[in-house]
Amino acid sequence: MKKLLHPLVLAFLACIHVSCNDDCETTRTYRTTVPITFNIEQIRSGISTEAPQDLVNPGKIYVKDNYLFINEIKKGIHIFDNSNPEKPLNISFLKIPGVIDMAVKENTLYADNYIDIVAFDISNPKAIKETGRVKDVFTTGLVDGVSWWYDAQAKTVTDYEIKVVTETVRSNCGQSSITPIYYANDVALKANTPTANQSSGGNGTTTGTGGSMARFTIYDDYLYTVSQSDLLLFNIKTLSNPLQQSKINLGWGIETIFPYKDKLFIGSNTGMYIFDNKNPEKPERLSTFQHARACDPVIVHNDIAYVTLRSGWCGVTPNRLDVVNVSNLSSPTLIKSYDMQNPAGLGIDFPNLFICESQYGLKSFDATSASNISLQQHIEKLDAYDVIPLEGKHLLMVGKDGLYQYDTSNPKNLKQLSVIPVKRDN
Amino acid sequence: MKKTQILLVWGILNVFPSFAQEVKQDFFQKHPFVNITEFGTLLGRSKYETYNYYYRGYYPQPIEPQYQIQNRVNFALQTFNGIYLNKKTAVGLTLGIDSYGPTVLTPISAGIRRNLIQKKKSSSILLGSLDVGYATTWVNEDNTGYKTSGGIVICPTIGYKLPMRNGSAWLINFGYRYQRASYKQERTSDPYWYESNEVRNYRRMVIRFGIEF
Repeated sequence: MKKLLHPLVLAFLACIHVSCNDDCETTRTYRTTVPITFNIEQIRSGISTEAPQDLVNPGKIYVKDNYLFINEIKKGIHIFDNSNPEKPLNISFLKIPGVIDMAVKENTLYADNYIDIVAFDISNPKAIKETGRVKDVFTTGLVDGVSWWYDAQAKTVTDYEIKVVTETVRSNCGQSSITPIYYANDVALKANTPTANQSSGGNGTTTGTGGSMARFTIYDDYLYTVSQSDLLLFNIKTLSNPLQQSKINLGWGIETIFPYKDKLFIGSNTGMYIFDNKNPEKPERLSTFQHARACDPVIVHNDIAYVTLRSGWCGVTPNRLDVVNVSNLSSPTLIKSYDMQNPAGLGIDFPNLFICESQYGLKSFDATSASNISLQQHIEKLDAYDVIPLEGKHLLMVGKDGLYQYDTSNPKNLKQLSVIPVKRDN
Repeated sequence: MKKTQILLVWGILNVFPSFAQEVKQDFFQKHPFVNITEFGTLLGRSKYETYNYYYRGYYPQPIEPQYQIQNRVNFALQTFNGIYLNKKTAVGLTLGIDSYGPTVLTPISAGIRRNLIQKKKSSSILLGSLDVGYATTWVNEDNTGYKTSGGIVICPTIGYKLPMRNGSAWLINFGYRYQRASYKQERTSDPYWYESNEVRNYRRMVIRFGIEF
């Protein structure tokens, strides 16, 4: 019997030797952010005019006269000559690290350069010159669900790049489920789509047209910008040299700014601030009212606000269009709600209302009567995210696949003029 | 002519089964059938990366992975059906059911059992066994969007056989069990999470009790 024990002991030893450890490796592929740190000198010296480039990850759009400015998120600005909308010409690419927003007055382009605001002379779009800079304006920013932050002591900016990562980790053999990493950082559940919207922002022809998602707007001799928490006012009487004038704290979560008549509408997570802008030098807060959902695009025309609500990352709201009477700013009243499929951006060229239905395409409505908005045309089989109606029956529409231009002289039959395609890796 | 053909066919049809029956009986007299049914546990540990991993996408500084250890005890059941090639060696097919937490694998293996040492007749026997096969997922149920696949299984054991008077025997076996499997998530439509594939190498110590008859 004793002899018999030996093989057993050997078996135990063998097991210990090879170790009875489960060895499980999970290879996973997901989209996440990868941190990158820049020092401030790199950011400030990183500006240059380069040869035209393809659109990869377009952001906001700004239109000024015959020029079309398309933001390549945090990389730079594509400049197109759009004098012939059937054939937009890609002129140049202005490389600006960290650029998210822009605004143009006459021949001066204002853009953010992470922490700074920079003024550019764009009279020759092929050789753009930096003319002025206001330093250390912003300390943090948020675009496309990703935020960056400035470390004033180290003089560095930490930003995050969205990447598809494939990696292998040692996992626990299915004893707990492999959880998707939704919260790896600030990545909100947000589709990576361009943003632009119509606004009644332009006054006259000296400034261009941005969107209701814009954080920059020009009114009179002032450039208004919103950071995450403040309304910042810049005096641009000398176009080439902006001067910071005042700073109004608004609380956290500021998202958009858009002017309507002599009012400024500032959209935040929690509600909407309305500022009286009769004295542009010193905007005064009129009221605050609860916005249906802060991240939903709103446009205002003739005291009627059009708001699209959609299900998705904004919350579990129904897919619909709300038409709201805002003639009395302190107590908006709902006129009527219309069912939609998955509405995103919208634009109005009264009486025509254009609504993007994301993957369901673009819709053209007749909005002559707010209580009876009727469908005129539905362009399917394209991804529509946002629209900017321009003067002269001309519509700009951005989707995942590119920037489309339409002739809207017949709102029942939009004519596609051109497409600027987006080149994506995946 | 036709009659003889029919007779011949009739004759063959009649002779063959009886012949086969004899062969079968002969064969099983020479090589008795054996069934060994055992149940037991699979003991092991698992070392895996913890939550720290998730913050890698946020902090600019590199983060060292941190590991956690957990003990694992799982249930196993198997039945070996075979024949004795000679007095000491039996070969056959082993069908088992192993639960590894929520994953249930059904391995089918070729098995060999050999009496290694027996001091005298009817005393206890040192028994060696080896099963090599492939695990199927016949009785496994997957979470939505996931697919479990089996893999090879190798299981050498050593133990005692304690014969009973009626010719049956009690068994206790100790050994090692290696099992490979994978747990793959199909590509999702989620924009932030694409796919994952867990390759599992279960390495366990196995303790089994059973009966042979």
